Amino acid sequence: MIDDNIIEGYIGEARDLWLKRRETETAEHIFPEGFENKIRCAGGWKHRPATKVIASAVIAAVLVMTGVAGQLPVFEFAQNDLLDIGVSIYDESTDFSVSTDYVDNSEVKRPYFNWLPKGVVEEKRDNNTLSTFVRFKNENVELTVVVIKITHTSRNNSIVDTEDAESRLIEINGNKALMVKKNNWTVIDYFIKNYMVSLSGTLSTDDIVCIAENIVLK
Amino acid sequence: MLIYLAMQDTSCERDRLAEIYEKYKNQMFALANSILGDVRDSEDVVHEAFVAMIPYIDRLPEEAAHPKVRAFALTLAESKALDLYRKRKRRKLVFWDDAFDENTAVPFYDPVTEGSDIAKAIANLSPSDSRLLMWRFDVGLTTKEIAKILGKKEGTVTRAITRAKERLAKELEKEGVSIK
Repeated sequence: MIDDNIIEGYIGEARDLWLKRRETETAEHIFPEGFENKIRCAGGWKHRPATKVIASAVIAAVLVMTGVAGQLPVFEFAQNDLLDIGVSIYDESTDFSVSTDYVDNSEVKRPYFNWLPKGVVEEKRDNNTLSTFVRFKNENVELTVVVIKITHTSRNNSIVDTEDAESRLIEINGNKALMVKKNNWTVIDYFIKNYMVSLSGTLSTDDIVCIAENIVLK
Repeated sequence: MLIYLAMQDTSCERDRLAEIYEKYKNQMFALANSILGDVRDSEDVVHEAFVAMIPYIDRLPEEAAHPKVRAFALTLAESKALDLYRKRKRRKLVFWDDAFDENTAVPFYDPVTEGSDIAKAIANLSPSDSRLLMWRFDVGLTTKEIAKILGKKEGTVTRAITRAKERLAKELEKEGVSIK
């Protein structure tokens, strides 16, 4: 039997020769959209920050003057081409009122989850006329996902507890998303066209972002 | 991923796995595709290989360009591709992994002719034998860790490594190389 020390002495050189045997020209392959997300979630890569900053210096200046500069992410989040989003900021919460003229008579889409953290399972799902409510749970953490269709005949109001919370703008698959963190509770709200998606729970922020990035509406 | 990395604000956000992914995804894909001949299957293999790599990132050199990192990425991709190849019985290529049972591998790549005799012999072993020896002695994985990657029992891996070493010794003996 060949001694391990001998193999160890030659393994580096053997590896380089092994690589040489597999030396081929490699073309760039375009991986499908969402492919990196799956790996990124598995690898715990950090979620990307929003690339957009507040576009208008004028808006920023006005907000500073009116004393609501800390709510900049909220206002940026509320800029939406398809939906009218009203924002009311109170001491304890921020209320969003979402409506649209957009006509969407298609069948309501439901959320499906291409990735979940290990051990987290769907505990409850309610499919309502225009909304879907899904609750996930494992031993220590919980997450609620609500998806609501907004059309010309329906509107939605949502309230986010923003008192002493950290708010910031991130991106979920190219959509602006508002992330609010308070203690161990994280809320992420964003829109996929005329659907409002809201995730909230005690899972880690990275996990919630990864779940959000892997939600498919169909 | 290119877009993703370009959107990162700071270089510190490009963690090691992302760097390795960027560097080797195409090579891993090409290797998998040369075995499977199927784009979707090969993409799955790249994904599986990266997921398998995650727990052992800390064992690898910091520098993504290091040959040890590249070899680990490619051996994982090759291993996962051959697994899939066996599972789906796609005999598009005259190439077979011995699956620990018998050494029936037909060399797909030209054997190396340069280098020291022992290194050359290791590199020219069957894909599974050379891969096992590299994982064990180059990356420093335990038999338990290798078993986890391969989805085999630890005892099976231990026996497979022993057989790989026996085949290496036999090969060297055939070539008249002293291993004393």
